[in-house]
Amino acid sequence: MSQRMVVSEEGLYEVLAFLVSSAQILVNEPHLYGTFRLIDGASRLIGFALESGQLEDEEFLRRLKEDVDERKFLLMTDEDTYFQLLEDSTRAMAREMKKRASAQEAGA
Amino acid sequence: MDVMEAIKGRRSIRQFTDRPVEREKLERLLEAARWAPSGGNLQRWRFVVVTSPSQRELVKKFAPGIFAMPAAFIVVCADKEPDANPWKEALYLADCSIASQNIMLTAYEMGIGTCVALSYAKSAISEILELPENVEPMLVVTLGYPAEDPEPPPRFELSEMAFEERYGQEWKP
Repeated sequence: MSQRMVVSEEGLYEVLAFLVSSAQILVNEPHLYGTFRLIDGASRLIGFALESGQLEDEEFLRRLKEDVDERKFLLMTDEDTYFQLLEDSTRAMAREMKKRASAQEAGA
Repeated sequence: MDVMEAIKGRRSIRQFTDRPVEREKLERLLEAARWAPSGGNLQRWRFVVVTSPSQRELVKKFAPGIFAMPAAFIVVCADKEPDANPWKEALYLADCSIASQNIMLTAYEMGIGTCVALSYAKSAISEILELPENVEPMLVVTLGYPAEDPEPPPRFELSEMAFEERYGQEWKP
């Protein structure tokens, strides 16, 4: 598995600003907004990684980001589909992590 | 433009083109805000207009609820009196909200899209805009020429929210 950096220092700071701000404002925001900030933060982080052009294989993350960005705003109008997005994203991440772990084992 | 047309036609716009908002239009928006009613005519609102790319970048980075870069922000602040009581605190928000609606309706009339945001880190925005300690950012209005034309979200019927003489007694047209 590659150990190279895939997020620039500028990207790191932007994600940190997002996370720290979110932590502060979520004290008073509706609790579901917390789930939104997390999945939106994931999308933003993927965005920086894709921008860097340093990913070994960007297909999975690109698809994940597209799916998140397409469905995340449904929190406001269609909670069930939004919850399904969270479920699908988690499952997709688990599958991908399993795949990566297997590939690492095979390569070791 | 008819007032009702503006009220019903205005949408929250979250995607903007790169076109800047002309300075005279920003001035007109500020003028609209200035003429809003305020409790006791206190006019404790303050408006910080942000248009420079560097300041906009900074504001957006600390506003997780703003998803695309607008051409401008108007940060609607309250110049709070020391030891303001809860009534005054409520008044600040009410006054800033009314001024923001004036901004948004006037913007709509000029073809400018807006969205009012509360999801930003107040302490960070205060730092970036160098707000005095007693000045609090109450609302952020994003502004720009629309790059989307969203459908109006559903509205509850009047019968569900308007009553006559006493709560629960249906308002009849």
